[in-house]
Amino acid sequence: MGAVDRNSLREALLDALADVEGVDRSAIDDAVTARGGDLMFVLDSKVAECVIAALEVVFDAQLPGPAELDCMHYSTVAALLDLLSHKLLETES
Amino acid sequence: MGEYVRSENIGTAWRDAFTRIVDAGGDQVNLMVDIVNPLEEDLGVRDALQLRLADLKISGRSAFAQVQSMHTVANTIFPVGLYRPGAPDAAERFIANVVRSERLRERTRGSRWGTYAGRLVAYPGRNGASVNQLERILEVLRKDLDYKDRYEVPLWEPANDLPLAATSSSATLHGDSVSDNRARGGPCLAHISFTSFGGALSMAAVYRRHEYEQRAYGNFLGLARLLHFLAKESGRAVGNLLVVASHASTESPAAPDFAATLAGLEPRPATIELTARPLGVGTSDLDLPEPRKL
Repeated sequence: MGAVDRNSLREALLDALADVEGVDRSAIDDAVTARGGDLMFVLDSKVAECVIAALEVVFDAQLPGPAELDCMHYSTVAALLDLLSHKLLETES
Repeated sequence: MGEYVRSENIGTAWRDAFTRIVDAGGDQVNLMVDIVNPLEEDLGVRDALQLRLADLKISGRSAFAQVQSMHTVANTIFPVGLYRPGAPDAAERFIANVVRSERLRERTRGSRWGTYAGRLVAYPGRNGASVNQLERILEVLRKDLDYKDRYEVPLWEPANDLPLAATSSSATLHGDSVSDNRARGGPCLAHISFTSFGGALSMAAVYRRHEYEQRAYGNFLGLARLLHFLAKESGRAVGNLLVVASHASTESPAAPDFAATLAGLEPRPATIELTARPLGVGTSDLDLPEPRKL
């Protein structure tokens, strides 16, 4: 895995979300736009867990599990991106 | 003496069973609840129960400090947000996602036993191995369309690597000698048995202990969703749901008053949610409501 920035992290997150949901990536992009952006796209807590688990493999990193988090940390795409940025970008710097 | 309750939907079945336990003084041995249409509930009963639980949560009673919404309880059996039937390989994807989320949870759960969904996809077996019971049950159901009641093999051990033709469509959820050897706490759901008859799939679930105020309604929802998943994915209709509790109980002293409140509610039947919501739509409307009083 090369250098990670917030944009590439967002791409990886949405790719993982499409994989978990079993839909094309374009369906995720369309839904994010339809809901009004990352802040408004709400994640089911179990879906968020699966996305985190998938990103652990992508980034070969240990990410926080549900027991270590408040549900607000992964309630939207924006919240989950903040959480992952904090964890992964901090690790890299 | 055991009791038998038969009712039309999840909501009325819960209400009638709860009333029966209250009438018995708060504890009932061998309570059988037969739900004719498990894909329906009564939103009036559910809303009243959730409001009561929200009140109890802030009442200072330790027994209710960790109370959860019915949606959250149901998710411990069948995480409905992971089931999107329109997607390709929906059943396989659902099972794979449950495995994925349970692996993430496993790392941080410490000595806790896990969830029922976790037990369904990874039952602890011999020498550290695990068995994906849900995958095997679905495989049996999809293959054996002409058989009605071949799905029970007494003393079946999930860890046994039997050929598929000899497996049953039972699921064991209690019995791990390492983590289940406790007097109180989960897992309370011990066993689930499925029967295919007349083109429909029915379920019987056995609880060693069932707390009716905090858990039973949500458990009924989760079991009904699991039943629907297996029926739909194996090309069957949904039959009835039987939930047996060796010991069923109410947990609050004012349960009789609440039983009287339930008796006065207008029916509000509704189909239960069976699949994930549209992409990006949350479930905050299913959380416990704001409490009425301190």
